[in-house]
Amino acid sequence: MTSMTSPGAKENFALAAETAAVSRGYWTTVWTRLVRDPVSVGCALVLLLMVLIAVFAPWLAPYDPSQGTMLKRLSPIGTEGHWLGTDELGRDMLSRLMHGGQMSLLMGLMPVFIAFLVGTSLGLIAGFFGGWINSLIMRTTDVFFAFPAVLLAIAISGALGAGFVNAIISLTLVFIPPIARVAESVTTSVRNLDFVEAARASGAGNFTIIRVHVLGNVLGPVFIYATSLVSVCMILAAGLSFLGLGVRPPVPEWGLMLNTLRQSIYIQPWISVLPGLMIFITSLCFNLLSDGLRSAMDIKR
Amino acid sequence: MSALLRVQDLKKYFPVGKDLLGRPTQVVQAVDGVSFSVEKGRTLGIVGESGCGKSTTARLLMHLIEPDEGRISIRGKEFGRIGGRHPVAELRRQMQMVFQDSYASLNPRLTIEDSIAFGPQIHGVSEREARQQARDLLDKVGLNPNIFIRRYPHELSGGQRQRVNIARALAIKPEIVILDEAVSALDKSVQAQVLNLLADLKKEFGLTYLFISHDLNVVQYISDDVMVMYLGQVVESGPVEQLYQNPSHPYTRALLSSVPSQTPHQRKQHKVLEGDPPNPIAPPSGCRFHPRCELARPICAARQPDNVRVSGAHQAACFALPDSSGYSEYIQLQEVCA
Amino acid sequence: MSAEKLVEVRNLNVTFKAEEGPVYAVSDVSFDLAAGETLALLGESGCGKSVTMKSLMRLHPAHKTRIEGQVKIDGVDLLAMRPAALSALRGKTVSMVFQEPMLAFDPVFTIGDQIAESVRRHEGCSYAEGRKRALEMLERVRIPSAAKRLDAYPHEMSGGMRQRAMIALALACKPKILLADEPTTALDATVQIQVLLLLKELQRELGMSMIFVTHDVGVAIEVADRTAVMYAGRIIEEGPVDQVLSQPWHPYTQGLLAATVHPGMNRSEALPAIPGSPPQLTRQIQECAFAPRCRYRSDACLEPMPAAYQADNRAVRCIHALTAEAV
Repeated sequence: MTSMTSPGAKENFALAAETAAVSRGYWTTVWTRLVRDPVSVGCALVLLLMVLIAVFAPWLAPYDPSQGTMLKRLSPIGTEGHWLGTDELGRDMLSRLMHGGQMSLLMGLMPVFIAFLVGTSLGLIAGFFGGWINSLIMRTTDVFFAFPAVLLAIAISGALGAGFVNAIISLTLVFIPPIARVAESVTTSVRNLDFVEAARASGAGNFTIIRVHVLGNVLGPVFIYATSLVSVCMILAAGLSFLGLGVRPPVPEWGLMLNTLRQSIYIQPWISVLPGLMIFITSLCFNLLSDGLRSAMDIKR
Repeated sequence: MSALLRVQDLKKYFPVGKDLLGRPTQVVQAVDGVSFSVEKGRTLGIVGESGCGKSTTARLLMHLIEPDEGRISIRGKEFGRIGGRHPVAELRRQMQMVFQDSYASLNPRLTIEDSIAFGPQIHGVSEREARQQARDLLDKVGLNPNIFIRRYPHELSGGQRQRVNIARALAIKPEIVILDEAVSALDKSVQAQVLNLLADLKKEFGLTYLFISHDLNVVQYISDDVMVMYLGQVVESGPVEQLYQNPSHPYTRALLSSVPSQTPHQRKQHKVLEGDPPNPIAPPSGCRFHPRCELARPICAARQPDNVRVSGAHQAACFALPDSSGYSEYIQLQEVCA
Repeated sequence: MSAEKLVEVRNLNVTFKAEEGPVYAVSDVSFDLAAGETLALLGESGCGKSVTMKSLMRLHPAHKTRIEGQVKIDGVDLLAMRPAALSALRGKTVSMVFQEPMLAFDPVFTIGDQIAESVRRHEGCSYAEGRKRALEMLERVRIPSAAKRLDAYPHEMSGGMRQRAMIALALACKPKILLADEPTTALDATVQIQVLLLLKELQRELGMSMIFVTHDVGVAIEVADRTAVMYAGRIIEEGPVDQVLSQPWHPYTQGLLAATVHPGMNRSEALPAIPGSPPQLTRQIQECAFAPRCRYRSDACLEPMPAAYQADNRAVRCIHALTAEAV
C-alpha cells in the first residue's frame, strides 16, 4: 500500500502548513540570485580584471607609458614587441592602456561614489521630512537639471580650471541631483508604508526610524541607480579629458588618448579606436551589472 | 466601572488642493466630532464604509495624525501635544495598533525577531531582554520561535505575518490595542484562527480592543460595544446585542441588511439602499445620510440631529427616532421648516 | 433551464513556469456550464479559481504558461483557436468583469467612447450606432443620468458607478458567457449588494451564463445556481449552491463554512478554525491536498486521489465523504 504513496506526500502530511524553508537573509538571497546570472558574473569578472590590471599596471606593463621612440610612431597592431602597436609619439599602446585604466576607472567611480553619499543623504532628508525642507533641497537640485549633464560638467570644469581634482569635483556636482532625486522618491514611498507608522507608534524618534527602517530600504534602489551612472561618468570624464579639461598629457587616460590619437585616425584607425573600445567595454559591463543587480534585488513577496 | 479610554469631540479636517497663496481650496471633514469611551477589558467595534473616517480615527488616537480638536484621555489622564497634556510618547506605551496590510507593516529588511524587539528597545529594554521577549511573544501568538525567529516577512504567509504584527504591538505591553481591519485581508479559515488568537490574548493580558472593520459579521462576533460611522460622524452606538437586534438609525439598518445571506434560502431580493456613499469633500448638509435615506424630511437637510437615547447605553443620531424627548422637538421643527 | 452546455472543461491543467520551478496552479479541473446558469468558483486565495477562469479566455501569457486538457466554449475548442478567432471570441462570446474597474478602462478615453469602440470592433457597426448602444447599456446598468455619464472619464466616477460602467462595457456586445472575477470584493457593503442584484437581474434579462469567482460564501449564495469549491488547484466539491453550502460533503467545505463568522454565533466559544494553511503548489500533489489539515485523515488519504464521488447531481473528491457526511 505505502509503495503507492505519491512522492512528497509524507512531508506535506507531516508539515501541515509551516513550510520549513531554510531562512536566508535578504542580501544572501540577492547574492545567490546574482551569482546565478551568467551575464552579471561575466561582467563582474571583466571589471575585476580591469581593476587588477590597472592597479598592477606598473609591474605588468611591458614599457614605460610615457617613454616613446619617435622612430616607431604609429606601428600597427601586431608589431613585434608592441602587440597593440604604438601611438603618435611612439609609446607602447598596451602599456598606456593598462596605466590609463587607473585614471579612467578612478574618474568613473569616485565622483559617483561621493555623489552617492551626498545625494542619498540629501534625498533621504528631503523625502523623510517633506514640507519646506523638501522644497528647499529638491528645488535647489532642480536648478541643475536645467542643464544637460555634459554641458554642466564642462561649464563647472571650465570655471574651476583643468585638472584631475577639479574634474572629479565637477563630475560629482553633476551626479548629486539625479541621485538625490531618486533617493527622495524612494524615501517618500517608504516613509508612507505601514511599518514606518508602526515604528512611530512604538514611540521611536525620527533618527531611529531613519536608521533602522528607512535607510536599509532606500540604499538598495539608489545603489542600483548609482551603478548605472558609473558608465555615464566614465564617458563624461573621458569627454572632459578629450576637451583638455581633465588630466593633462602625458598622463595616460583613455579619454585623453582618444583625443590625441584622433589625428591619426586615417593612418592607423584601429589604434585610435582602442581607448574608445576600453571605455565602451567598461561602461557596458557596469550597465549590465547594474541591470543584473536590479533583477536580483527584485524579490517578490 | 469608569472608562479606560475616553475620546471627546475628535476632529480632523484635511485640506485638499491649494490656491496661489497656499490656502486650502477645499477640506475633507474626515473626522467630525467623534466622542466615545471604552471600559477596561471590553472590545469596541467601529464599523462603516470606506471614507467614513474609521481608520483616520485610529490614527488620530495614536497621534500618527495630529488632531485638529478633541481630547483623548486614558484613565483620566489627558494626552496630546498641547501644553499641560501628558506627552504622546507615554500614550503610545499604553496604546498600540495593528494595521490591515500585514506585509507593508513589517520592515522587509528586518528579521521577525528584530521587528518585534524594536519597540521595547526604544523604551529602554536591553537588547538581550527584548530578544527574549520576542521569543516569548512569538510563542504566545502561536508561532514556534525556533522556526520563525530568524525569518524575513516575505517567507511567511499572510496569517503568520499578522500574528507577528500582533506580537509586535504587544511587545510594548499596551493596555489598549487598535486593530485596524487587522483580519480583513485574511482568508476565512485563517481569519478564524487569528480571531481566536485575539480572544485568547485579550484574556491573558487583560487587553482592551478597538476593533475597526467593514465586516459586520466579524464585528458582531468580537465586539462588546459597537459604533457605526458615516462620513466622519458617529450615527449610532451601543452594546452589540441591542444594536444588532434593534438597529435604530436608518443607515445602520441598511448596512445590516446589505450583508450577503449565509443561508441559501434567504437570498436578498431587494436592494436596501441606492447610490454610493457621498464624497467626504462636500458632505450633505444637516444629517449627512439624508440624501440616501428613505425617512428623510426637510428638517434632516436643515439641521444635524443630536444623539438620542434608544435604551440604556444605546444611542442613535436621527430625527425620526420615536424618543419621548426628541420626538416632539422633531415634530415642532418639522413644522417650522415646512 | 436547457441542457445545452455552453462551457465544457475537461481535465484542465494550468502550470506556470516560474524562475524557481513550475507552479501547478490548476490540476485536473472539469466542469460544465449550462445556458442561463450561474456557477460560483469558491475558494481562498491561491486556490486556482481566478487562474481557472482566466484560462477560459486564454488570458495567461503563452510563453510562461502550459495549459493542458480540453476547453470547449459554445462547442468550439478554445485551446486550438488561432489568435484572430480568439480576439473575436473575447468580448463577443465571452466577456469579463474584474475586481478593479480602473484596470478595465483606459483612463484617457471617456466611458462612452470605450463602450462604442468595443461594439464597433465586434459588430462592425458605425461609431454613432456604437454610442447609441453605449447609452442603452449605461441605462441598463442603472447609472443615473446616463446620457451625461457617457462623456465622463473613468476617474470622474465613484467606485460603484465605475463597476456598473465596467459591467456595461462587458455586456455591450451581448456575450453568451460573463466571467466575473471578484467584481464586488472592493466595494462597500451597501454598494456590493446593489451590484450583485444588478448582475442577477441582467443575467435574467439577457439570458446569459455567468461564472463568478469569489472567496465570500455569502456572495456565492446570493448569485449562484451551482458552486464549485476549489482547494489547492482542484475542484473538491461541486453541486447546487443551496445543497453544497447548507450540507457540505467535503471536510474542507465544512471547515470553511464553520470558520466563516456569521450572525447568531456563540460569542463565548472559540471559532472552529481549520488548523494550518494551504500547501505550496510547487509540487504536483497527487494525493488529497487537504489531508494535512483534515480531521478525518487516514493513511489512505496519502494515496493518489481517486475520481470524484458523484450522487444527486453533486460531486465530491474525498474518500471519507460518505462517512464525513454522516458526522
